[in-house]
Amino acid sequence: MPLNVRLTDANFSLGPESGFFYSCSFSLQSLVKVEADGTVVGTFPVSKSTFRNPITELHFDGTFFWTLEDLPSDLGVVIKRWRLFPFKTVFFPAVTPFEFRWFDELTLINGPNIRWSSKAFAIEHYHLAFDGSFAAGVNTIRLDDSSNVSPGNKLYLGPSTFGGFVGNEEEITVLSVNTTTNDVTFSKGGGLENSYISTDPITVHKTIFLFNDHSFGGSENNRGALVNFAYPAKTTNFTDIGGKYAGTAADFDSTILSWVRSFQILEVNLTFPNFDLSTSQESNLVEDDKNTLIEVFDLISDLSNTQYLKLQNRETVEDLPTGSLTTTTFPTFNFQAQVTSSFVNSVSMEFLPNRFVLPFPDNNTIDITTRVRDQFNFPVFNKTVQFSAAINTLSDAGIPGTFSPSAVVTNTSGIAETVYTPSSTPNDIIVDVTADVL
Amino acid sequence: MVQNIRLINPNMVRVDGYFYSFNEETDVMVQKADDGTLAFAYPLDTPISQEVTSLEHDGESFWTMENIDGTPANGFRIRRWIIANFIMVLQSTFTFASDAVDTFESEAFTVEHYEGTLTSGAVENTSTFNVSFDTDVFALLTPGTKMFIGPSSKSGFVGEAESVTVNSTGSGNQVTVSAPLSQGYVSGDKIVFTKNLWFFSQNFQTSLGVGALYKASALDGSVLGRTQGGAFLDINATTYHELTSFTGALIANNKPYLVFIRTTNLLFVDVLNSNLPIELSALQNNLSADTTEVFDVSDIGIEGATIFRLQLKFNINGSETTESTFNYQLATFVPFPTAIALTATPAILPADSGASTSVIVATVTDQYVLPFVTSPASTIQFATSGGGAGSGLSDTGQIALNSLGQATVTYTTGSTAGLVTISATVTIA
Repeated sequence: MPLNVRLTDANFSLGPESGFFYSCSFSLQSLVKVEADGTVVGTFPVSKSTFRNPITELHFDGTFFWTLEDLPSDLGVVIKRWRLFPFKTVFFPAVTPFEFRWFDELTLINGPNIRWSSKAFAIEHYHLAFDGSFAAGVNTIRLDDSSNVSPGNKLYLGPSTFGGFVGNEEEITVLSVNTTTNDVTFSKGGGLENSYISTDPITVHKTIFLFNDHSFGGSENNRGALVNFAYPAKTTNFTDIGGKYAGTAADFDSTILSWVRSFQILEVNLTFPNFDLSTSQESNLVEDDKNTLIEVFDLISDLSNTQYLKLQNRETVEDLPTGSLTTTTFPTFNFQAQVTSSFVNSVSMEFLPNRFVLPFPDNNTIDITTRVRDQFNFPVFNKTVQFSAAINTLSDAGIPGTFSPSAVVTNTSGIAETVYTPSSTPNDIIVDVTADVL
Repeated sequence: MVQNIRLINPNMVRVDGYFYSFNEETDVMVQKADDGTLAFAYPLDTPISQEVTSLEHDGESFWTMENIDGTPANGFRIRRWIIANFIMVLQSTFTFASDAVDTFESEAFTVEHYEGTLTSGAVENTSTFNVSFDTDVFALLTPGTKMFIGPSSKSGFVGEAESVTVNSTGSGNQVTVSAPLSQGYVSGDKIVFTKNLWFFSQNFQTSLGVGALYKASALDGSVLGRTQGGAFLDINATTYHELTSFTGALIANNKPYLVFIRTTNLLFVDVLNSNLPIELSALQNNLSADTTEVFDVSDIGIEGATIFRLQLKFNINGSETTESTFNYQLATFVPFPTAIALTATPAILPADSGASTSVIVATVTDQYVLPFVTSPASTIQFATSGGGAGSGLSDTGQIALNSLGQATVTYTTGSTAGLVTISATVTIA
C-alpha cells in the first residue's frame, strides 16, 4: 500500500464529490476532504454537535454522512447523521457548504442485559434516479426502481441538472408507491421545489446495521451480533447472533452489506430472504509472518468498480518475481484496494502415494495433485501450472527429478495433475517442489 | 530454518491438500497451503477462549479439543464443527469436567471414523443402499449411527451431500436409514461415519500420572471405556487413519488404526480389537542430534503414506532449529532402513595371516524394528580397514539381503595386530 490518503484518523468514506475522500478529524473537530494523494482540500467544522471520541467509522449514503463513536466513560456508542451545510435549494441557490452539521443520532446506552461495543456499522441506503423529466410543482414522480421505497420514506432529490435548478436539492416524504409504474406520490405544498431530468439522483436511507461485539446471550454474550434498527423510528427490527458478526469495518453498497471479519470480507445480499452469506473472500490481511492479522479500520465497498477499499495502517505486499512478502507499518491510515473479481489466491499440493521416494514396489514416481483456488476459495479454471524442483538448502547434494508434464492447465475443478520422477541421485536428498501459476 | 505452514497454535489437520488450524485469538479456522500462505479463513460462529490442543476431521466434521480453563486437570471440551455458508458452525460440545470418578487431563484425542463407498446407486427418496465396508467395520453400523453421504456424482445432484441415521442393516452390506434420501447417488460415491471418540488422559480415573486411553461416544460424549497404561501417558498427538500402503510382511496391517506419538515412536492401536493391542511401533526422528532431547509433537496429520508431525523443534540431517511457529516435519509409513547391526563371530582374532576367520552378519531393520525386506531385494556392501596385509572380506560387492534382512561375509585375518573396522552400506532396491 503506497501512502495515499494519509489520514490521521481511522475513518473514511467517499462523499458528494467524486474523486475525493472524506474523514472525520477528532483533533480538528471537522470533516476533512482530501484528494487521493492525501492533499487536504477542505475542512468542514462540526456544528450542532461534537465528536466526543474519535470516529471509528464514517459512511456516506449519497446525501448524509453517518458516524460511529464510543460514548464517554464506556457508556455505549452513538451513531450520528450529518450533512455538509448549507446545500443549494430553490430558496438559497447560491450557497456553498462550509460546515458539517449534525441532524440526528441513535444513542445506544449500556444496560444490565445489553452492552454496546462496536467498531462497525452500515446504512442501508439506495441510489435511485428519476425516470423522465419532472417539472417543479408536481406531486408525483416516477423512479427507475421503486422496490426499496415505502410510504413514509424520505427521499432526497438532487442535485438537479435541470436548467435553472442546477445543483438544487430537496426532500420529500413518500405517500404512496405504485410498484408497477414506479410512480411515487408525495405531499408537499406547491409540489416539487425544483425541476429534474431523467437520471438525476435520488437517495433513500432505510435502516441501520450495527455489528455489536456482544450478543446479549447470557453466558455467551461475547459472541457478536448484527442488530438492525429501523430509521428514523430507531426501533430494533431484528438481532442475529453469531461470531461472524464480530467485524471491525463495514459498508453497504447496492444491495450488499459487507464487513471485515478477521482475514475475510463477508457479504450478505439483502435481496435474499435470509442472512446467509453470499460470499466470503480472503483479503490480504496477513503480515509477512503469514499469521498476524492486519486490522481494517474502515471499509468502502465500491462494487460498481468491483473493488473494496480497506483503511489500514499496515500492509503486506508481495514481490511478484520472488514471491517474498514484506509488511510495512505507516504512521497514517491509508487504503489498500481489494478487487472483487476472481484471482489466484492459493495453490495447494498433494503428493500420493507418498512424499518420500523410497522403495516403492512398482515404480519410483509420485502423483502430484495441485489445487488452484481464488480468494473466494473456489477452483480456478484454465490456469497453467508450471512445476519445478530444487534441492533444499538442508539437503545433501543431488539432482532434483523431473515432471511429466511440467506444465498443466487446471480443469474445471481447479486441479492440475502431474507425475514426479526422481533423479538417480543415490544420496538422501530433500527436494523442494514448486507449482507456479502462470 | 524449517518454516512451512507456520501455525500459531499446536493443532492441525490435513484435508484435500490443505492444512487447517483453529486460532482462539481471532476465532477463526485458517486454511493454509504448504508454504503457510493463507488460502481462506472460516470465522467461528461461537468463540472459544482456550487454545485448541488437538484438531481432527472425520470426513464431514472438524473436531476440536480445548481445556475448560487454564488448569488442564480441570478437564476439557471436545466440540464438533461443520463448514456451513463460509462459517464454522458449532454442532455439539462434550464437556469432560473432572469429578469424583475421573480427573480428565488431555491434550490429544481422535475420532474413530470410517470411509467407504456406495456399492450400488442410491436413489433419491428411497431409504436403502449398499456400502463397501469390511465385515468388522460394517458391524459398527448400529441403529442410530450417523452417516454422511456425498458429494454426489449423480447427474442432477452433483456435489450434493447429506447426513443420515442408520435404522437397520442387512445382508449384502445393506443399510436402511431412518428417513428417505434427499439426494441421489451413484455407486462409488463416498460415505463416512463416525463411531467413537478416543482421548489420552494423564490420569486413569483418579489415579494421577499413570496414563489412560478413554473411549467415548461420538453421539453424546458419554464415557464408554477406560484403559490404563503407561504407553498412554504424555500423549500430545494422535489421529485415526485406515492404512492402505503396506506391502510384504506388513500387508496384514492395512486396516484402521488409532495412531499416536509416544516420545519417539508412532504407535498403532487396533481399536476394533477389544484388547486394544498396540500392533506396530514406528521410530520417528523427533530427537535432537545428540539424542538427549525428544522434540514434542503437537499434532499429526496423514496423507497417503506421508505423516505430518507438527513441531516447534526440528532435526533435519543433524541440523537443529527451533521455530517460533508450529511447522511440520515429514515421516512415512513406508518401511526404510533405520539401523544396520553388525556382528562378528568371533569378535577377537589373532593376527595370524589368514589362519583365522570371523563370520560377519549384517542385520538391516526398518523403523518398525522389523527386517528390512524389499522385492526385489535391496543390497548391502561391506568394507573393512585395518588388519594389515592379507586381511579382507570374502565379498566386497553388493550382496542381496535375505528374508531376515541379513547378509553374511567372512573376514580373514591379516598380519598386523590392531583394530579392524568393518562397515556396511545399504542400497535400497
